[in-house]
Amino acid sequence: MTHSDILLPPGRREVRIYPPTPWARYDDVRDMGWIAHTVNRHKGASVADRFVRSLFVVAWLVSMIGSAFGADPVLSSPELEYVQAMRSKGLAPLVVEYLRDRRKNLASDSPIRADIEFEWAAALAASSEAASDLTDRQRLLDQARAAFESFRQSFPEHPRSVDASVQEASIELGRGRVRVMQAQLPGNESSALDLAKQARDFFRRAHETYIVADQRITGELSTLTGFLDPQKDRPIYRRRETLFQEQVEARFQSGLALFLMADSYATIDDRVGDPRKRKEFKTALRQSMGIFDKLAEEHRREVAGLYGSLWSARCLIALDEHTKADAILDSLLAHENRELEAFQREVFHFRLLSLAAQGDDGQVVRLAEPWMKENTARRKESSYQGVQWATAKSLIRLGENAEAAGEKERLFREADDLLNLVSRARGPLASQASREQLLLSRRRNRLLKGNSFVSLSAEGMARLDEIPSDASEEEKTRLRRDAVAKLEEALSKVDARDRPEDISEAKCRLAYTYFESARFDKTISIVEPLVQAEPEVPRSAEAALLAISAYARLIEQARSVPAGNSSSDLVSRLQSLVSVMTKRWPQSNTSDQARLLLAKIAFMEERWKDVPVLSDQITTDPLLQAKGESLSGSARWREAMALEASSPDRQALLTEALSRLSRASSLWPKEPTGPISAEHFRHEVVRADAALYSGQPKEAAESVLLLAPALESSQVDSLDPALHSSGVAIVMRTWLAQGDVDRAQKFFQKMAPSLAGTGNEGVTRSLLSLVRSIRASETSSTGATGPSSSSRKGLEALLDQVNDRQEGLEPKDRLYLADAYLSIGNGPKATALIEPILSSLPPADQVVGRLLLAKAESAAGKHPQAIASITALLKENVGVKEVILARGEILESAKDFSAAIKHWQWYLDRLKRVQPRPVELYEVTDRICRLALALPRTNPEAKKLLGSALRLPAYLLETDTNMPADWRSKLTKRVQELQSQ
Amino acid sequence: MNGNTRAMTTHPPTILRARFRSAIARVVWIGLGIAMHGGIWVEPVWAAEVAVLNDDGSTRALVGEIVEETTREVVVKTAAGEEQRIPVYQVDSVKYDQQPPELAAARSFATQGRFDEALPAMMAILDEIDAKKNSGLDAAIRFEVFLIKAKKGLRSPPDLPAAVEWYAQQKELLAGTRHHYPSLEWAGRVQLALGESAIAEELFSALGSVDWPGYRERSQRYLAELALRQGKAEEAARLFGDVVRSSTAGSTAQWERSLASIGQAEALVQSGKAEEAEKICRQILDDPAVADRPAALAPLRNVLGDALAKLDRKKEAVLDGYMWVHVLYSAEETEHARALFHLASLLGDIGYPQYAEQMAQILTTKLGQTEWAKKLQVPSP
Repeated sequence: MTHSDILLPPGRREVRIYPPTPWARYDDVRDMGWIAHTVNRHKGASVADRFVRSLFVVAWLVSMIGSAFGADPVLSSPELEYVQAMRSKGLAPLVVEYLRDRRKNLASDSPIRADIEFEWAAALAASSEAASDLTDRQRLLDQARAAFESFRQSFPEHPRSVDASVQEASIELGRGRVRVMQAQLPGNESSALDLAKQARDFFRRAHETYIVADQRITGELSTLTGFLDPQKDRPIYRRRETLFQEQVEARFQSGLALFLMADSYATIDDRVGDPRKRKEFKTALRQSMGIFDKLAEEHRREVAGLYGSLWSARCLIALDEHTKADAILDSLLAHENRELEAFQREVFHFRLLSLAAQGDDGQVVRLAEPWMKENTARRKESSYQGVQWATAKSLIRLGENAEAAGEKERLFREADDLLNLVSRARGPLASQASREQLLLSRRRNRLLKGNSFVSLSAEGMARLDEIPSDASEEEKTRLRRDAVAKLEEALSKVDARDRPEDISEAKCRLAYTYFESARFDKTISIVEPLVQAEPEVPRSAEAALLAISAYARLIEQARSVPAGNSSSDLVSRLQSLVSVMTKRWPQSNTSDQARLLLAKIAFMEERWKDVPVLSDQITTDPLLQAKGESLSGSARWREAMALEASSPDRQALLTEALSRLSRASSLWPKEPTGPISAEHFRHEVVRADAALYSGQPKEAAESVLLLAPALESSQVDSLDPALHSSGVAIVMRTWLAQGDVDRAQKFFQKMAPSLAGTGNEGVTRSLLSLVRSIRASETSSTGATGPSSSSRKGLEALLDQVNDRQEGLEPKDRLYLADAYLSIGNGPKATALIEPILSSLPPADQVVGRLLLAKAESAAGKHPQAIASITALLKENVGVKEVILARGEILESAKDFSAAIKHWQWYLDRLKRVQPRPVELYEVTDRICRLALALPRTNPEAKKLLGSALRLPAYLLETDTNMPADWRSKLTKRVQELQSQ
Repeated sequence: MNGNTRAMTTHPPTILRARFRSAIARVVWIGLGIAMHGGIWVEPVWAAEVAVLNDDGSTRALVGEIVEETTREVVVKTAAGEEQRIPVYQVDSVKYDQQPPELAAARSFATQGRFDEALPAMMAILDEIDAKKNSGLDAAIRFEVFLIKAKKGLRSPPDLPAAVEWYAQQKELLAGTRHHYPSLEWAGRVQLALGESAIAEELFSALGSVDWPGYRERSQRYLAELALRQGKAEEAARLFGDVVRSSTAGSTAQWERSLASIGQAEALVQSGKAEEAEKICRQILDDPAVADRPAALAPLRNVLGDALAKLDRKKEAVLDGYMWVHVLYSAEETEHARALFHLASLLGDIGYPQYAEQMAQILTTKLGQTEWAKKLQVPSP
């Protein structure tokens, strides 16, 4: 009987299990999706049968058409369709993300609330499959279990609570499988038996839960008997369909849970004795087989029945009843159908297991080798990995029985290669394969205890692997030295029997160890021949990478020694290596890395024009392209800067530089989760700087958007202090250029602790800009009243921070700072700033310096010094208005009123001679009036001064017709005040 | 005379009867022609089944002879001798008696988007048809060839010039037929994709001159889209807004309003008003007019994604916007490519680089001919 001959019973459909997804595993039949559809089979049926069946097919088709257009109460919401579609496309982690927020926002009485909760739990369970880490997988399964439990409790009457039972059972099964995988890990050798026990508990629970689910489904199905119109009763009709599928699934999985329970004895407990002698092992297998047999019997016309038979055969293999198992497998192999290809691969896998269990390892290898070649495209399937595993085990047994040492080693090596593939595939057999590999390597080492290349290199590499990451540098060096000696010895023993890939691997490991020990010349001497070898040898690309990295370091070293050897020889050797590489792999990442290195060297050697030429050849990787563009942009910038400002080429170069830098930013791959790299950080700093220079603060702001958060959260990898402070400076400058003083100030306050002690000119200049901007904004907002006390405090703190910085403060800047201190009334700090630099000031700034010093001394209460300083300055600069005004003010603040009066009168006399009358005349008149008003009445000069002070403005008001209006009103007011005295 | 037999079934006697009737009709027409004009006058008569579109979107079949076909209407004379004038916008499809059976297969290829198979099949049919005897069918196939070329070009821009060339060759022939206005629309879309704004504007304006319900809105919507393509986002938003506010009744006008709302949201995103765009998109999602219509839902979800991405709400952009198009509306190829393009970059940003890679792979392998796939391969500066 072939599968195509299977006839449909009335009221039942043929269930086909579609080819599994590439990642589905042999024990993951439920994940393949039980998609049921009807196929009408007419062969050999009576006319009445045909009639009944054709009716059935019509009903099914109508139901399918109806389902495509109509709304199902369970699936009516587009949102539910969306999450289910996402889940079915293997995007379960995204469903979890989506529903995490959605659940919070959904009203408690929403009609889709229950379905959303169900989907949430199902998505958690499904996303556990995507988790590569076993602990994560376990955590997600635990969460899914809790979510389903909560769903059942919250919505006990919901139609999907039955589905939830099936899901819960599947979660238990999943938890058991995680435990099995943990137990099989080589690192869990000591706790393996405990973990196996826990796994069996989970499997038992899964089996029981599936049985309960089956009972519930059967109960519900019993209420849905009789004829259902696919159109009129569509929701119930579809519900019955779903329940039927779930029933089959629950029954199958309950058997699988028992099988896995038994299998855990065979794969874990076998280390403490023959599992087949254990009663529990046999009982579980018999029970499991009973379930599969029943399934095969009840669903013999459906694909589910075929899987029942297949797994029944699997149980028989485990029970060593091979004749029966082979008979079943032979009958299953006869089902040839394109849709059953995946099933047939599983049959083949079990067939090999049977042959292996019967000790026919030679046949296993003979059958498996061509099969694996033919089915390479299926290598991600569990059946494929199962075949690899079975073959590896057979090869090991064959190797153990082989007499010739060479043959033994060949078989072990082939087995090792297969085990390596299985363990890397991360399937359910991965941890078992890792453990087997470890056992095999011990066997091989025993075998090769001589001093062959294989044993010595294995030992050398094992020593390298064993170097603890937390060991001290001395310890690491010592261990590396031992490993290097072993590898060197191994390479000296290479003979024709050794495989080229093993030799290359040993060479690369050795070269890398030298590289780690900073012996770059040794690295090059090992890997360069590998790269240049003709024909190409294994791992030559890896060797090429090592070679260019070593060259880079050597060139860097050569350039860092001022009077040392020239790097030109190294560069030409590197260039010839790169030409070999680019010829061999024109479009490869390795060649592009080499091109980037050459571009960097060209940049270091200031061959500006060569840099873009080299970087434009980089095509394979956005990151390398970004780095190349960044370098080219900087090169163009430097080239432009070397030109005269009036040169016509300069602007073109600057524009190109900025455009390349921007392109580099857009190419640079995003670093969504981790910190950004120092290289990326540096690039953005350069770009922002260039943008600011070109007067494009908006473009600079794009870089700052990345720089500022990275600096604030310290999310930059290996950032040196100079680059850090450059980053801070550029952020502040950008914001200041955009007029956002507040933001710049807040940012600086946040960054201040991290800048302590970092001397960087850029930061200092930015700080000064910040001070200037604050003062300018203070002046514009407060006018002549000066800064408020709170902002004065803030400004003083900022000034202190600038003042503390040693680097980048020019004498002129110190004068500016002193002036700023003076503006907030801090004379002592201003004095301390000016005194040391006064002699070093250029002649043009001498007057300003001395003037500020005099003012500062006065503000600091050092009146005699202040008067002496300003008087000396006045003698040398008798015509400078600022000095004259300052002297008067200093005298007043020193309360030397008579000298002050004399000073103002002297100045007034000078001003009287100037025609037309300068504004200073009114200003000095006003000062004299104010002085007269302020003089204590006890002062002997007060009365005399009052009289002359009154006369002067009165005269001016009367005679001066050109007096500006504001001065007229001011002086009128003064006259009134004086008259009232 | 171009008339032929009428046969709605393949049953031979029916065909014969129909041919006989058609022959009588031919004689009558010739007679009438001679009588009216004093010479031999040829009047087109094609037996056919016309699928007439009802207001609710359903269709009804009208069997008879097409006695007149103009740019605006099709006149069908039924078996009962009654003449029915069907405006072209209500003509869903016409099944000519003379059409070869291969046409159904060719159309099926076109419907499935298998243009490379549909095109040679159509051209082969075109070669076999006697254009003089079956001018109605000939024009219909020429128009269908244009549609295939246009759709192919819209999917893969390098194929656009072929559509333009074909249209230029067929323009005069189609000008007097019921395909005139539909061909204007598609020619406009092709020119729009090519960036030929002036020509597209002319074509879309001509489309607006017809007084069929919803066509003025359609023309305006295309003009707004044109403005959007030209980077005039503000103007586009205003033009889309005009369509949205129109009060024309009927399902076509309602549909145009829905599409215009989506266009308006897109224009708002481009003019930096992403928050407003988001609000509009979420309102449209609740509109029953777009429910279950992927042709609207796909661009709508993409625009919502664009708005959210612009607001730097990347996770929402993925999960509320683009991902919907990928998992539910992937049949809308261009929109699917657009969604995949954005998913390929955003999924990495929100911590799912493996899915980002997967999306990029789907885009380059399955929709590699689209402009979005090319954009992904060559990152813009």
